[in-house]
Amino acid sequence: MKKIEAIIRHFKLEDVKNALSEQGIQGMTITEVRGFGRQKGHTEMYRGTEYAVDFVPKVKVEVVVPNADVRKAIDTIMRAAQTGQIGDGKIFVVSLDETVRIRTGETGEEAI
Amino acid sequence: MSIVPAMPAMRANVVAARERLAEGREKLRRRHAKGSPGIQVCGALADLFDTVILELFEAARAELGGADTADTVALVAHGGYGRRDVAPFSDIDLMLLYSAGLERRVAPLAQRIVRDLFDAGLALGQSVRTPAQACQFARRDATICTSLAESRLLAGSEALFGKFLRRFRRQSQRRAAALMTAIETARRKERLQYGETVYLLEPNVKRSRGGLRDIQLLRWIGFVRFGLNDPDALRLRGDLPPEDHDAVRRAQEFLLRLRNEMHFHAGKSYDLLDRAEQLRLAEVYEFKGDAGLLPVEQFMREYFRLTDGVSHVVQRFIANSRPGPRWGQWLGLLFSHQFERDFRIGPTQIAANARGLAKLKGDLEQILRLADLANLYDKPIGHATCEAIRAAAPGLSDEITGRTADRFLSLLSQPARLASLLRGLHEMGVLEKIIPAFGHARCLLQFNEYHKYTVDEHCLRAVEIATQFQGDPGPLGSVYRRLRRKWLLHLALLLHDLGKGYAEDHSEVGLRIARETARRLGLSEADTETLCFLVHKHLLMAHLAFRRDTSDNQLVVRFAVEVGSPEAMQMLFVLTAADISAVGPGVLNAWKIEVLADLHRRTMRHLAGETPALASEESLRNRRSAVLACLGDSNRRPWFEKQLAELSAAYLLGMPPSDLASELNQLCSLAPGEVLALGRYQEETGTIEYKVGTFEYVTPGVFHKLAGALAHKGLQILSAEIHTLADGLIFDRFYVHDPDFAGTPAPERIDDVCRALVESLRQPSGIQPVFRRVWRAGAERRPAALTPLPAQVRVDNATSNRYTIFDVFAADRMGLLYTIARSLFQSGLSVSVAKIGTYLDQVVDVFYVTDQAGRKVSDEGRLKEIRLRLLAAIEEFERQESQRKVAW
Repeated sequence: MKKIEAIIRHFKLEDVKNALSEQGIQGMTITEVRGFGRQKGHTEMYRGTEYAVDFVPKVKVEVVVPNADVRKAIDTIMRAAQTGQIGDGKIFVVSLDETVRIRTGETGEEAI
Repeated sequence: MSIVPAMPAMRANVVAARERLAEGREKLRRRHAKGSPGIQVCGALADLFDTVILELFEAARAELGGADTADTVALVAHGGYGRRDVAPFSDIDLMLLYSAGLERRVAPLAQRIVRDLFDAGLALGQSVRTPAQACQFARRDATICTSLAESRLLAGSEALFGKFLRRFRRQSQRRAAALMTAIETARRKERLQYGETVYLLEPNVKRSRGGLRDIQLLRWIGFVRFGLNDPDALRLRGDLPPEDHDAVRRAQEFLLRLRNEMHFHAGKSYDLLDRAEQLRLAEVYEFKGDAGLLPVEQFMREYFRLTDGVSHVVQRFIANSRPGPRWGQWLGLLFSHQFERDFRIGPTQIAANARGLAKLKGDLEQILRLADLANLYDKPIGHATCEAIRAAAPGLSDEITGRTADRFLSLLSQPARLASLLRGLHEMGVLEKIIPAFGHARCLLQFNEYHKYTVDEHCLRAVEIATQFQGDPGPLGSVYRRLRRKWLLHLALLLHDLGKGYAEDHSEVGLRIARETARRLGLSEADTETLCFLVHKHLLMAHLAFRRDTSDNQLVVRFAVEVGSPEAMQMLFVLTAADISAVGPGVLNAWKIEVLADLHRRTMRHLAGETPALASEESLRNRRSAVLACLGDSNRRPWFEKQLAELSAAYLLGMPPSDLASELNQLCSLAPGEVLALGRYQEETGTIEYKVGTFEYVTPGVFHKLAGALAHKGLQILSAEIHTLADGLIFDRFYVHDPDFAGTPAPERIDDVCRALVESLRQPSGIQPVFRRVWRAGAERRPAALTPLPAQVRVDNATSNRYTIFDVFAADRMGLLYTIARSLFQSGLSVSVAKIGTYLDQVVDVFYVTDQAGRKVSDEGRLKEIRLRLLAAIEEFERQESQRKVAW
């Protein structure tokens, strides 16, 4: 089991959500986040006037998938979230020790 | 079940009680399912509990040899159980009352009875007290006090119970005023915890506003104030008007039966009307639904109507029963003043006097006049006056006179206590006389996972949130505070969701409601257009900001064209944020504000030229001193300082201080009547920057003449700015693309253009441009633009203090700017600031203009004439253009 955390452009959320559910990957958690990566936030130029925008608004998508689906999930998110411009985001993959469904107590991949 | 063997100590009579309880509940469940009224089922439940408790109590007393306790102990039911309106799984509140000094003899009995009742399966709230202790506790804690107000003797000494009750009653009535306040405060705290408004979409039938607890509140206040806690008795005494009494009775029956249903179905105590439960109950109650309304929405509307009624009756009852301290009334009279002999404005409220009350009856205008005054003085309307209005409301005519409309718009223009006044007008049934669609929205539930309030409450809340932006330190506050015509925004917020609850898309219905409202209120054509836009497109900005890539300039330009004017943009920004925030607590967060503010900023660049609050005062000051430092010390310093103060922030910060200093030096040397023209190629953008400095009095219509000269030279104007400095100095800047020179143009070319610019101002009529046609690669793109959107011209008089703003949207053609600028000039307008933006085929031009006397153009007729003339000029220009094309 892996947890996939994708930091994406907020307006790509709808596309990513649809693409993932088309691939049969169900359930996700969304967080509105702010941050910056290599681009260190961006500085807007408006007719020569600079003003800094330190943290860029992004959306974090978290999905948990069985090992077999990790590749598929990453590919799907990449295809849906890519614009080719700086600031498309990142995908992190984290190993998971355990998953428990609270209502039934099921564990492991059953509980995803 | 495995639980029973685990408790070997449970005695036979307890087991029997447990079974009897279960059987009794089951029997009552069937009775309830057959349709037995709630109050009867509750009463039967109380009887059942009585029997079980009495049996166990007597058995315990007999077993512990407590025959001698007959005169010294009493078992008292209080709270809901005392009142006999228990639900199947309610808590049972019991108090064991004993004579002082008998602690040791009572303790074993108390222990025994508590354990037995618990084992029998009752959820018990118990206490053991002497009458004095009970009264003392009640004094300290309003919740205990209210619970004991419902005391009922179950078993034991009548004399002891009587002693307690007399003492308790005396104490309560002696401290009536303080007690009422304490009871209200406790209730308010509970309501805050369980949702302050009736329209919380997942209410608690007991604790939310208008729920069963409010009916109890009425009983408690009645007990404290009049010694009576029964609504029937209060009605007979005349303290509760018959129609209020009926409303409470209807709601009580509905709620009791509802709660029984919920308990029986859950098999436990369950008071939360959540979504799953709402769906189930709508089916149980056999609501059928209709076009645009789901069965569950109909069911919840019924629920909200009834609880809404309870909430009002109770507020009214409390206000009427508050013992008014006489000195308070005198002080009020002393510190208040009359307003036009109809109204009295006091230190805490505004109220109508006898003459005013007579006027209010049946006269919408007078009611709005009062509301407007209340807003102006920021005081609530007195209770008795509200009651008079409420009584008169159903008889009001739906017709609106011009004066009524003016009053309403005046009320809407002040944020002070607008939201609470509008809510008051809605609750009194007045608002729907002005905006009939509000009647439909009343108590209308939006069954989705998103909204937390009904439609009417959502709209009122949106207005409230917008008025709270007045004190917001962020971008929303700065935009809201600068809005001149807040009434238009408030009106749009009030209407924005009223189209809900029909089969058709709510934005479309909303558009019709907006148009109808504008007609009723007699709004001007332009205001009607803005109002309709805001209501019709209230989801547009959120949709674009959250779902689309707003770094795509094309998208932002299309959005700017759709919005049309800076004022509409500012309003749509605030409206969108307020709408999101009014969905529920915590929905509008800093993240969302940032995303919206970003789109707002990007769009304003196209609509208004300047981005407000772009640079801090400090950075501007620093830049000015840097430029002055480059200029060195000279006797011309005051002149430089004056000009720097007039330069726009964007220009000031847009180039290195040394360059700006050399420009200022050149301008300073400009002799009266002379023209200075400079040209410079900008490699990074592949454009040429032309700047022209001269004086206003050189020739009329400087701007359009310069534009004409550039067009004549075959240059495409990408953007243009006008800076009006001190002493009549003007400084214009154009960014152009030169199709004849790819890359760096030859210096002779730049000189040639500069000469043409100077020349154009020397000739009285300027240069009449001749538009050439040259075959070049870029021309292939033209066919797509052959059927452009029709040109648009919007006027905005509200955004700027000094200028009228024209926004022009048209398809790009060489010479277009010249055409527009000439038309403005011919209409007798002077252009002070212009912002020309070209994006592929779409032009967004912004002009800040004044009339010849330097004033804003405010006359509606004149504005319309200018607008039509401008449109005609653009159309004529486009027509000639296409003819030229055909011939060619």
